[in-house]
Amino acid sequence: MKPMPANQLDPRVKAVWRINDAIWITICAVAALGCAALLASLPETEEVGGLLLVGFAIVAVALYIIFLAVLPPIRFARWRYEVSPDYLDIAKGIIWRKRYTIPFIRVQNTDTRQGPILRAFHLASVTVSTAADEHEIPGLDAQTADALRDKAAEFARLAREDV
Amino acid sequence: MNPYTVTFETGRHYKVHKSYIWVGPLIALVVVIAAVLLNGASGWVQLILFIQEEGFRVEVLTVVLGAVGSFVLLWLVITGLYALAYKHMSYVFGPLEFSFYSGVFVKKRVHMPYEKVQSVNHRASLIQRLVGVCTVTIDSAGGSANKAVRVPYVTLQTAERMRNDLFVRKAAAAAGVPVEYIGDEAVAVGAAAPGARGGAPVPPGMPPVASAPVPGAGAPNIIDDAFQPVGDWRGLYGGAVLAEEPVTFEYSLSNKELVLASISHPGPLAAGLIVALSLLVCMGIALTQNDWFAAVLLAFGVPLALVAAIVVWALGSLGILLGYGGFKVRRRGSRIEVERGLITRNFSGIDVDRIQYVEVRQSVFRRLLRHSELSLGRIGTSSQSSSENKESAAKGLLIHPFVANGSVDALLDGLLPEFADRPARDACAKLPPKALGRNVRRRCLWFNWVLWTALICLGCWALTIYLILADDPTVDAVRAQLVFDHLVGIAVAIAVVAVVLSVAYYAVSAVLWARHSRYGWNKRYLLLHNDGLSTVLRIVPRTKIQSGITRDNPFQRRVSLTTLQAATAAGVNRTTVQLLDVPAAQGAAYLEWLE
Repeated sequence: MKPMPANQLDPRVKAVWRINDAIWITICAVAALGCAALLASLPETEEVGGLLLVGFAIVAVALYIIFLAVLPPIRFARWRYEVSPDYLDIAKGIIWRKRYTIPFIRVQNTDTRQGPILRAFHLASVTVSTAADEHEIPGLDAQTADALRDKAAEFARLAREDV
Repeated sequence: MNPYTVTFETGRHYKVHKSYIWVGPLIALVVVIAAVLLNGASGWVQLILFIQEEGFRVEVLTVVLGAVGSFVLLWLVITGLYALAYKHMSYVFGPLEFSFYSGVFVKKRVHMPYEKVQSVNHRASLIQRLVGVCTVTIDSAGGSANKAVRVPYVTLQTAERMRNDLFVRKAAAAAGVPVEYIGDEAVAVGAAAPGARGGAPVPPGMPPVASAPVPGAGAPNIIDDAFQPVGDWRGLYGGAVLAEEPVTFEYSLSNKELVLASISHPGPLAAGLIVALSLLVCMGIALTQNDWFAAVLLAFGVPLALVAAIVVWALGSLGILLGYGGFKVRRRGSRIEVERGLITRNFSGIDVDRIQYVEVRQSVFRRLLRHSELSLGRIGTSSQSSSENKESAAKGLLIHPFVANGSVDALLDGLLPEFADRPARDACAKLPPKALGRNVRRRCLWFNWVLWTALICLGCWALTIYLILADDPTVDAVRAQLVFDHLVGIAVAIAVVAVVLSVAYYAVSAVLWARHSRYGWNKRYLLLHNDGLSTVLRIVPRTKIQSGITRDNPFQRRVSLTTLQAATAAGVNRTTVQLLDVPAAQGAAYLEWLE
C-alpha cells in the first residue's frame, strides 16, 4: 500500500473550523428558533410552535457538539498532504476517504487565500487549480503556504496552457 | 519561401457577407407574419364574413392595405436595424490575435489570440445554406475559462479561408515567424496545390496513411447519393471548394449504418415508449370507470396507442436521419473534421492534441445489435448558446454513430494513428469477484430509484388516508378513502411489477458490469470500461488526466476495494471518468502511475 502523505495541516486550523462552523450553525439556529418562537407566540399554533422550538433547540445542540467537539479532531487527523518534486498528494475524508494525485505539470495556477478568521490565526489556504478541478489545502501557516504556492507556481510555468 | 502564407491581410477590417442585411429580417418577418396570422385569426374570419355579406367595399381595402402597409413598415424598420448593425460589424486578423467588432450603441470587440485557437467550426441553417453563408465559431483552448468567437454570415469559401488562415497564423505564432500575405485571388478555385499552401506542418508522428476505407464504413448510402446535390450544395454565394491540406483518412456512413443509427437512437425510442405508456396508463384509468367505454377503448385505444408511439418514434428517427445525413469524417493533417446534416449543416473540427478522451458507447438497443457509437471528448465552450450546441459540447464530438463492434479498432487506427499504442481491452484486468455481490445489492436495492419512488408514493398515500383523513366525515375525505380502497390493489400490483422489472434490469446490468468491466493502463493511456446493458469505454491519454483520485467508503474499505477516478477537462466544466470496486492495491498503483 502507498504510505499516507507526510504533512498534517497546522493544528490551529481546528480552531478556524470551529469558529467558522459555529457562526453558520448560530445563524441557522437563530433563524429557525426565531420562526418557531413566532409560531409559539400565536394562539392557534402554540402547540406546534412549542414542539418545533424544542426540536430545533435539540438539533442545534447536537450540531454544536458534532461540529465543535467531534468532527474537527477527526477531520484534522484525516487531512494530510505531501509535496513531492513532481506531484501533490492529498488524502482526506472521514467516511468517503479520498486520495488525490495532482501532477504539478497539470497545474494551471495557484492562489493563496486568507479570510478574516484565517488571518486572525496567521494562517492561509492554498488553492491549486488544474484545467479540470480545484484543490484547496486549508490552514497552513502563512510561510508554508507561500512556499507551497511558489513551488507550485514554478511548475505551473512549465505546464502547457493548451489542454 | 515563407511557408506561412495567408489570404486575409493583417490589420484590415473585413465585413461579413451582405446577405446579413436581408436574410436576418426575412426570418424575423416570417415569424412576425405567422404570429399575426395565428393570433388575429378571428379578425381575419370576421373580415372574410364581412366581404361575403357586404361585398368588396372600400373599408376592406383600407384594412388590407393597412395590414400590408404595417408589415412593410415593420420590415423596413427591421432591415434598417440590421443594416445599421452590419455597418458596425467587422473582423480583423491582427498581428497577434483575431478580433470581431460589433454593436451599434455599445461597441463590442471580442479577441482571440492565435495560440488559443482550438477549432474553427461552422454551421448553416436551411436559409443560410440556400444563400451559401454560415456562422463561424472559433473555439479557444483555454482551461475552464473558455470562450468562443462567433462570426455570423460569412460565405462558405470565406469560412474555409478563415479556418486555414487561423491555423496558419497559429503555427506561425508558435514558430515565431511572420506570415506573408499573398492576396485573396491566389485561392480562387483550388489554385493552390494540396500541401504546398501553408497549413500547420504535418507532425512527425503522423504516418502517411493512404485513404483506405474501413470495411463496411466506406460505401456511401442511398440518402447521401440521392441528396448528393443537397449535401454538396454551396448556395448562392458559397464559392468553390478550397484546396486544403490532403486528407489521409475519410469515411461516411453506409445505408445500413445510417438507417440503423437513426432508428436505434435512444431519443426517439424513449419518446415513443413514453407516449405509448402514458396513453396506456390513461386508458387504464378510464377502464375503471365504465363498462361499454372500456370495451371501445380496448378495441381502438390499444392499437391507437401503438400507432401513436410508432409515429412519434418514426418522426423522431427521421429527424435524427436528417441530422446524420451527409455524415463525413476526415483526417486532415493533425485535425479531425466532422461534417453532417442534410438541412442544417454542421462542420466541427478538433486537433488531435486537443482530444481529452476517446469514448465507445453502447445503448441497450445498440448493444443487442452489436454496434457502438464513437465520440471524442473535448473541452466545451461556455458561450455556445443554442441548446443543440450545448448538448454536443457536453457529449463530445461524434465521429461515428453506429459502427460494428468488430470495426471499432480498425476505424480508430485509421483516424487516430496517434492512439495506436492504446491498451487493448481484452488484455486489461477484470474486476475482482467480490465486486459482483456488492454491485447487485447496490444497484438493485440502494440505488434502485423505482423501488424507493414506489415505496414513498404508496406510503404517503396510505399515511394520508389512515392518519389524516381517517376521522374526517366530509364528502371529499370519504370519497378519497373509497378511491383508495378501490385502487389500492391495482396500485400495489403496478408497483410490484415495476419494482420486479427494475430489479431484474439492474441485476442483469450489475452481473454484466461485474463480469465484463475492465480497467488498465500502459505508458500513455488509461482505459476504463464500464459494462452493463449499456456500456461506456473510455481511453484517456495520461497527459489529459488533470488529477487522479481514489475514493472509498467504509463498505469498500472492509473488502479492500476502491473507486478509480480521473478528472479531465472535457465538457463545459469537467468530466470525471470512473470505475467502481477496483482492488485497493490497484488504486494505489494507479496513483503512482500518474506521478
